[in-house]
Amino acid sequence: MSAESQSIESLSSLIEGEAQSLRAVRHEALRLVTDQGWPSNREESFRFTKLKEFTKQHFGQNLDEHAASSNVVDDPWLHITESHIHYVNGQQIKNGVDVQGVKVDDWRAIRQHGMLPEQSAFAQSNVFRALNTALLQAGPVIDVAANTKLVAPILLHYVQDHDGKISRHPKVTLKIGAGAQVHFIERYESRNQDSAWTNSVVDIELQPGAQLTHTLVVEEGQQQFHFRDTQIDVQKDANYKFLVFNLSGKQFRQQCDISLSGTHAHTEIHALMLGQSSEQIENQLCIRHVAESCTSRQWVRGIFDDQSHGVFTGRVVVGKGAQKTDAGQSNKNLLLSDNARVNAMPQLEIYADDVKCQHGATTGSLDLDSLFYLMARGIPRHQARQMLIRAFAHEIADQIEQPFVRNHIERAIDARFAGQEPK
Amino acid sequence: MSPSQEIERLAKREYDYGFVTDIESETLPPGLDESVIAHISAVKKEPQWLLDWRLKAFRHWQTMEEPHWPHFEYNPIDYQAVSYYSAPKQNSDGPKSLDEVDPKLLETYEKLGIPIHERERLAGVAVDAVFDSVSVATTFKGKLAEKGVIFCPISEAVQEHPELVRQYLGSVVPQSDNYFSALNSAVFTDGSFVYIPKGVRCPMELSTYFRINAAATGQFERTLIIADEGSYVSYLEGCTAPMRDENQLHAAVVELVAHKDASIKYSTVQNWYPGDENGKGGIYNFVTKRGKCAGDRSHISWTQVETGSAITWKYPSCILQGDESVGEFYSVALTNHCQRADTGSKMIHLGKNTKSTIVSKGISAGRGQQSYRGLVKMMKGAKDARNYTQCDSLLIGDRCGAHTFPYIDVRNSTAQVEHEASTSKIAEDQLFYVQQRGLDAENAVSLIVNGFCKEVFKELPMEFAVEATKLLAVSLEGSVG
Amino acid sequence: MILNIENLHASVQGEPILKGLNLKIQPGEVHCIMGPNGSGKSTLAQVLAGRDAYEITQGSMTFKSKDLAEMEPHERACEGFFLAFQYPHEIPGVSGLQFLRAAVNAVRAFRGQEELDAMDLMSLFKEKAREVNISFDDLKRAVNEGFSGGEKKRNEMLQMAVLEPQLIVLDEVDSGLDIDALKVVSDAVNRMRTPERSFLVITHYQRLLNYIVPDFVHVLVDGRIAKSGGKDLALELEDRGYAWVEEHAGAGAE
Repeated sequence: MSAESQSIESLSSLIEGEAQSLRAVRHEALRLVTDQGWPSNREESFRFTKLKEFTKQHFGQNLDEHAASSNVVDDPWLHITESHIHYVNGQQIKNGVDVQGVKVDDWRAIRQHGMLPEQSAFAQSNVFRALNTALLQAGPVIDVAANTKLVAPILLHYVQDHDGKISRHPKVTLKIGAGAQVHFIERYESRNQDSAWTNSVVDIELQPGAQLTHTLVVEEGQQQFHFRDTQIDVQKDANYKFLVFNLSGKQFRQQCDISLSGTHAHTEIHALMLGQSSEQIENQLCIRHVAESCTSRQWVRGIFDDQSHGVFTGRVVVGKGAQKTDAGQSNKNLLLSDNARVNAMPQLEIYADDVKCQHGATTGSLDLDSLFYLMARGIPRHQARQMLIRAFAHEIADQIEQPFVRNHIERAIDARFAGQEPK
Repeated sequence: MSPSQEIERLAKREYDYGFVTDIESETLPPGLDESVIAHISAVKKEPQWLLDWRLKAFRHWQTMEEPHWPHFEYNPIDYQAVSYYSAPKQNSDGPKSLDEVDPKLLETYEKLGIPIHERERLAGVAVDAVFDSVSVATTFKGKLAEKGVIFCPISEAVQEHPELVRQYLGSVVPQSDNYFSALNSAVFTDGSFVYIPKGVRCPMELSTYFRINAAATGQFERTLIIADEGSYVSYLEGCTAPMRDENQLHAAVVELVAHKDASIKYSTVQNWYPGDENGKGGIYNFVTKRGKCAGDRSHISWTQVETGSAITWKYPSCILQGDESVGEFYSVALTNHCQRADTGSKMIHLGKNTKSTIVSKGISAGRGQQSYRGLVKMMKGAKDARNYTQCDSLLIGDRCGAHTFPYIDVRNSTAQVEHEASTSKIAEDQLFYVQQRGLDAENAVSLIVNGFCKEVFKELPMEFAVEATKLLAVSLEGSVG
Repeated sequence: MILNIENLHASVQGEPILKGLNLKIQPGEVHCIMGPNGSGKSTLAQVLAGRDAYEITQGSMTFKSKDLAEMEPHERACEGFFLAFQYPHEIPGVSGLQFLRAAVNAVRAFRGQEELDAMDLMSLFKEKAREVNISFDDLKRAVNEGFSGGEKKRNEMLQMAVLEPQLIVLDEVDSGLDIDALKVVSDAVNRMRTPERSFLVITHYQRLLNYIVPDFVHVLVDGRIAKSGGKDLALELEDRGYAWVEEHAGAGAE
């Protein structure tokens, strides 16, 4: 398919009735997509992205506002919080957030009322973001007032159960007011095995002193493509913690750009990528130290089995004025099969001198010393292996504060490696 | 005066090797087309196959695009404004011994501190010196010949050992490998050729000094080193160029082949003219260096100290084909003033139990920008292969940059890859501490930087290590802001 | 016989380390192997435990008449062989409790015993942990991660106490310990002494033997036992140094 033909088809019906200024933005974005076409592996940031299979697909858009069908009421995840928002096949079906200081809208309402976010919300950094701008239909716009301190998390639940190939282009906009404290859980789940494509954009602003713990859980089907573009602005004294769990899906590609724009801002990322069959999981994290005295940490782990392929780019950019930066990054990968592959690119770009930056990356099989130690205490080899693999993954899952969510992730990890026989 | 000011003052010191030798030379007018290549080939009395090989490379080059990297901008090179051949004028038969070499040339080497005359006998170093495009003298030929070692200009090897040249030329760096290797393949003028026969341990260190003298010339030398089964050779390379306002292009290709149980140690001290404080002039050093560990248990070790050139683009690499073969890369690169360096290594593991080590130390000062760019690739057959990479950057002053771009590609589960990188600066209190113990600012910086580079310097042959340490101190002077 | 080593040769990466070692240990005996650095003491411990980096090139070693070389490391452990490591490995992400539980149940399963239920295990671990001064909370931490040298060694003693092995090899268990920690470790060992259980204590210093009193002392030089004797031999060694035995061994070999 060509990006343009698909898009143009759906665009006209999509933007009918929208404010002129918004329509202009959409057309502009679409023109960019048409001009550029799909990226190629010659572009540095798509160097390892599998594009062949994706570009062969023909995805339609689900424009039927009432096509949602899945039952989200009995979902066990609902017990963790009162504040949940549900989207089925790209359409919002429930907005259950009713908390003092939190305002949740949907894009649909916004564009119908002709309210337009600032132009900067549409910075087109790449073709996928541009396409999202052009085709965006629905997605939550969440505004947390200053100093709001939420005890329970806000859960955003995306369900995919549509028959036939569809694409969805959701956008999540989150603004955390100064001094507010929020847990935000974003969960992508598919309930069928049909091919689908999610092209999501997530924009988050943390105002001075805000604290956000953001958990992303991706459990998608074996035919699901998910491309994601995330931009986060962390202002003075704010703290952004991002937990990423790639549990399943045919292809996942995230470009995440975090800017530490105010002094003493902090961010940390904990990511776990579990790859099996021929999945590709790609996380490109870029942390920009713009202001002085900010700190950042990245802990990224991957376990790749079968013919799966993991790609990790961890870029730390320390700008000219960003003195007293302290940035650390650790990437560890386990390869469980000789057909699995890992590409790791831990990068540092430093333009200031008073900095402390380091990164480390390791890739290989399980640590033989640990394996021997466990066996020397009587634990059979395959069990020892399994213990080590699980421990490797659980260390990331340990970061999750909600017991239900942590258990869910740990069970998923355990289930994955339960039958793990030595290869 | 504070330590930083002291260092700032010292920084103003100038490039020591920037003299121009007034020597009559034969230089082709600028420009590049097939007739220029035919001319070079004819002057060198080359056989037809080599001319064909050059032309093939040239035709391919014309279809290629000059590469561009992020963090790496420079004025476009006008390849038609470069002269592709410059040779000191000489008796038409060429020098038969050092006595016939133009004394001015020898004087140049004296200034460079190269032991080309009698002194080298004491130093035990056999030297091939390449001046602009041609090799001017190779010492110690006789003694090496006793052992069956061939060490001569590559142009001579083409005449004397065509079968070896034909077999190996382009076998590690194919003509079409990259833009600059294609250009080099088309127009290379000289360089060194080394062949170490089976089981021979080369009795002395072999050495080549490169010098660009003529204005507006490019230097495109080609070095080919073959270590046959069970042999050993240590090879040193040094480079300087005069100070000129325009940029000059140096696009060399170095190919190494190590057969079963053979070992090649290749050391470089690169001190091409880096340009002045404001980035005017200097050498563009775009070099392709690659070694093939063809046989089991073969060993190739690259050690480089890069202090010169306006721009350095260089990734000495190893293809680890033989089982249990070993590749090593030890590098110190320093960028001061407006220098830019993009350097690192590629280790391609194909064979079982292959091992590689990369230790890269980058020092950025002034407005220097430096990148480590490296690739470690573990192919499917590389069972139990290991790589360890360490890249450390030291920043001196707040106008410079240090970047690290490693690529790790692992395709088998028994391979282990470990990469570590760190960036730090020389702290004022660190400097103060050393000074408080009695060292002046210059020596204090030198001491700290030398400590930072120790792991690499210990890999250099003794004479080179001393030279490298001095060079680093000179290049660094005044760099703390 | 508990352990019988005959003419054992072992090498690492083609480099011979053990060069014809003989040693017999009967039930209830405490043997001590001393020797200079590089004599092969730790290699012996690793070879007995089944570390695959070491290659046995000649000779045999049997544990309770079974060929050790034929067994996987965990099978040796299940049979009742225990090595207290000189450098206990850190295992991030695996908690001490999880580790002990897995080990105890693996050993019990091997012996055809039923798994212990969680409550029984907990009270067992609590009791044994108290004996070696490890707090129960520390057991919830990852195995050895961030432990001091002394804590790691006490943790080894805890595992030993819980697994109730028949032959215990202590590899330089005294290295890096202060006197109080050494006391805790040696008490743990002495508590375990029974007429059925045997010990092989590997150490560089005589100091440990004031606390764990051996029946036999052997001096290992260049991969072979150069001299054997009673506990007095250790004192003599302390006096005269290893050079004395080395000379003696050299003379003997001529």
